[in-house]
Amino acid sequence: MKRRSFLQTSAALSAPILINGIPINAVARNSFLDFVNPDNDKILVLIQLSGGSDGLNCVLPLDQYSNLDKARNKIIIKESLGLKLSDKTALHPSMSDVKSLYDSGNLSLIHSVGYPNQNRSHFRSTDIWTSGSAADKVITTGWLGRYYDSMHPSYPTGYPNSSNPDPLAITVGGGVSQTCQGPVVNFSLAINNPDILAPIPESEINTSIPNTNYGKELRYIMTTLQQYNDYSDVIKNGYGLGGGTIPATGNALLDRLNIVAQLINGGMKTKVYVVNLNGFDTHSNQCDPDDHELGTQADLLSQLSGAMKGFQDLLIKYNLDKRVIGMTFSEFGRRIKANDSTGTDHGSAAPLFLFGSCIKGGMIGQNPTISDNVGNDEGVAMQNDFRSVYASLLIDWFQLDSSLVKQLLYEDFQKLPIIEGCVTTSILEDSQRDFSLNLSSSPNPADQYTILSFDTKDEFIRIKLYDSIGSEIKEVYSGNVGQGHHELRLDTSSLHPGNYVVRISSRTAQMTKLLSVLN
Amino acid sequence: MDRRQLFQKLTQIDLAEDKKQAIPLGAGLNKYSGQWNYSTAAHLLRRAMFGPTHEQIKQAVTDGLDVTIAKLFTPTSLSTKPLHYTDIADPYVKKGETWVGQKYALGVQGLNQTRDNSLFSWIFQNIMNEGVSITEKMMLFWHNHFVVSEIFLANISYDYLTTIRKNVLGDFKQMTKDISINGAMLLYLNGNTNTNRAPNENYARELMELFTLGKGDLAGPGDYTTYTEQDILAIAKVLTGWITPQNRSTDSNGIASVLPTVAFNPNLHDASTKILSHRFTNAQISNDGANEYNNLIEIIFKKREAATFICTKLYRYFVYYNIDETIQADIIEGMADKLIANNFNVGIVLKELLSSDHFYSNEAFGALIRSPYDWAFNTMKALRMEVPSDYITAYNLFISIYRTLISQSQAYFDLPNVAGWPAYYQEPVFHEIWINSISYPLRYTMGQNIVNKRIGYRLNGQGNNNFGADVAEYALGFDTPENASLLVDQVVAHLLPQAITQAQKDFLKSKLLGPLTDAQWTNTWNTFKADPNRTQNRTAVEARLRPFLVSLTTMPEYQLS
Repeated sequence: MKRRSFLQTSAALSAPILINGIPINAVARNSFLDFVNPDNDKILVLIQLSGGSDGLNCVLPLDQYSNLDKARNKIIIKESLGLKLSDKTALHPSMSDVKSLYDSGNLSLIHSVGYPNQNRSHFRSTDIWTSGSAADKVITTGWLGRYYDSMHPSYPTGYPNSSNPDPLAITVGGGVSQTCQGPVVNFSLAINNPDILAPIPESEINTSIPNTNYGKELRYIMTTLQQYNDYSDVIKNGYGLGGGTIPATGNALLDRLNIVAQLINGGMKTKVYVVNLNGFDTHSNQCDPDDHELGTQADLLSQLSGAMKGFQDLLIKYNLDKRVIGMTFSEFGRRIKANDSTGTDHGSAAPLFLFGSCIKGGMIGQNPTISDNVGNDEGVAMQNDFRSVYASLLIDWFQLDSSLVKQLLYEDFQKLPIIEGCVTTSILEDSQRDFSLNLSSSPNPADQYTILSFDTKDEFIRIKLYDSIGSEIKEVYSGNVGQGHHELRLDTSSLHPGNYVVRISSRTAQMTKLLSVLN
Repeated sequence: MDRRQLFQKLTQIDLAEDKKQAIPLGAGLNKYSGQWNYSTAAHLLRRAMFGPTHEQIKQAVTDGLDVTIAKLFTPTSLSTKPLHYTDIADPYVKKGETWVGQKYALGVQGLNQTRDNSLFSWIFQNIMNEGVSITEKMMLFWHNHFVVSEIFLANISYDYLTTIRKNVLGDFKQMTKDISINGAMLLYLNGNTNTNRAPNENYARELMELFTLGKGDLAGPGDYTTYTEQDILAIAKVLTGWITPQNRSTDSNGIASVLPTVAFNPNLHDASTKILSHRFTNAQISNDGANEYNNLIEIIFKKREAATFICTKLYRYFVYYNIDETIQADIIEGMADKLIANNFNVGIVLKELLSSDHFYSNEAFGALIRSPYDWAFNTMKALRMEVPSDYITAYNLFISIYRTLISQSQAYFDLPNVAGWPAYYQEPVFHEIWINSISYPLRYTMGQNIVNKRIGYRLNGQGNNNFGADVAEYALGFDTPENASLLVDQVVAHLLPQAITQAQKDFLKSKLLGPLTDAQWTNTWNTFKADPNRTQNRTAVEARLRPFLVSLTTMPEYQLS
């Protein structure tokens, strides 16, 4: 497979290169440290929703309801039962806990998060989300793995140590997380139940490890054993100091987040925790056919919602809420149209939640636009690139310099107003933000052409055209424009009839517009 | 240098060194012509079957490579079917009889679980009772390839295993045809709700991405090089009309039951002509009703990727996960040529791979991280755990072991998703996923329990916890167990894939001897040998063998095959 060789090239880019036995980025590291705030004690908790979470039943666009009802009548949530966040937007009725987080200003709902050229494979799309890469680039390191690698290039050699006594990242209930995969080693440690952690007696170690595949794997296993033994007491102690076991709540996700809360409360310096909630691949029986507010998705969202709120409440009780934020993510949203199995197939963008006391509450972006003739394979068009969310967290939460973040994410991404207070944000003042690019298109539907009009500042902009499954058709424009109103003719005569999405983005804002093309 | 520094020095990975190593194979799939000895025979059997014993390896040395390969690939058949083994009242099946093919009565508390448990136990029994054969390893391979999960209808799950077993060492194309209309698959990937009125593309997508061609690079909108989004929609239509009727009935006693089967309903089949994309030279599939899926599979299998994709997976399962350009060119493409030339007969290709120079090269030896199943069955079988002869005891024991292994993330009919276990696809770590700070302690505990004969189950409140390895019988299989040093050498050769250092051997020997001197061990052993049925004699050798074997099965080296 060509994929393999491609991958090696890309991995080589971030692997330490040795010159006279000294890793180059050991030198570079010092400069990296100039770009981070050494006193930053902020913690990020990722909640991975595996399977592809259906966003349109989770966050209901009330202003699109009639078209949405046409497309997914068999599964849609009743308009009157949605938990209203605003006149236009409501939550799934099982998410009352998330609504209360929103009402108290501790939840940010980012609309339609995804990436260009949506890949609808679970595995590839999960890789894209965890690696923080573009859809057409195969990157095998995780977005947080690269962050750790820039900070701790020699890990695990010499770890734990006095300045890093705790695991750098922890996953609770599952394997290590791909988000923390570095070029050589994964930076996360997997745990289940901290109470039963106990060192494994070690034998004499092998002192003549050959440089073969056998040797490579043996080193890996030896390291895993050593790390487990080194960290198991540390974690157990931290857990005990934090308060120890909280009785099972009946919500498995909350149980895992409670472990996270106890570890943080015990003084652990671990910066990233990852937990997983599986089961969102709702091709069938997403809801009860007779009562759409019940069923698989309702149960999952109820579990998620209760866990988010329960975790936040515990953090407040511990007075830790200003140090911790949580974020949900899923590999994709689902199709706008329902299928015949009371379910939905793989789609494109979906809403994403961030929560915590340091979150700037509210919504970012607008409801997705649903046309009155939704195609079978149509997903929700992306408004916000998921890497914008990552970049915002790295800069505003972990206080990394934007130049380092650009290096970690390969490109410059627009920063979103997610964090408020708690840390000093440096890069962009919120007052500078401008979400009114005022993109519009006429005629729409377009016959042979359409005129795109929009307003900009004196800045660099990019306009791209996507088809209804999120594949990039072409770049309509990219370059610097002056401040003011602009119009651009887009020739549609060579496009197949159907629905398209026009997306305009600048460094500070973005907007999408649905475009229908006629025969 | 203290122990910690030494450790760190050893485990520091020198990438530049690794790069230098990773190159040439040259010989490719040429037949192995090197020395055939205990080490090579053990390597073959460890990879190709579950838990080879010392005796089986010795036999393979005597037999030579070709005869051993022939034995591994000799078709086997099962002499039993899963049995009803609990006291739950099944109106249609007596305790001790099989429920296969029998109606499933609705509303009987625990019946579904008991049938499922019976199936899982029966699978474990098959693995435990298997001799020198590649069959059960390949059953697990196919289960990870044609994934179905959480079916909860034991008859349907059993039919799925039968479908797999029919071509387990044979025709991959035929298996793909069979599985496309298999009840478990129709349920798992919603084929049974895929109709002309509302196509459900779930199976069509995975058929291309995960079962046959694999997803290539994105070449254009919706175009994944090997197939396109258009093809998925068209293929979903080809596969419409297959359903899984429950066949609900009520007998004269008023008991309602179901017996799910597979049927084709022409009224639900899309009768239009389906047009594939340029990736299939715009092939057309005209309406052919219940036979149409066969035509589709024939078209898919005309593409070379149908061969390269499965060969890649076979290679990763039996050899090692890393596939660089040289391995791709020399091994994978060679396997694919052979597979195509032999009408997709997988057995022929596997025989060649397992007989190749490459398979016995330094690149492959000991480099495979054992999956939980491989690890557990190896520990039980290689250390001579006895399978209880009474089926009720055996089933209760195996379902308990099945559950233990769920927590290590591997279980029949309980896979994380349709792509199978991440260890076989997740870049860049692959098999390393099996070992982490959760699974390692679990292996340690399970190894202790097997070696110390403390695995078991609870039934009706009674604990029955005295199953596990027969370590005394195990040691009896070696030539000179009375000599502590030689016993350590031989056990190491049997259980570990590569040589270890003298210091490591000395450590293991110290575990074997405990407070004893070499001479005292010899005495202890000889006393046992003279009267092995005397409990006291047996207990004395077991007391020394157990700490030794616990230490050995906990070593990082033992996690490798």
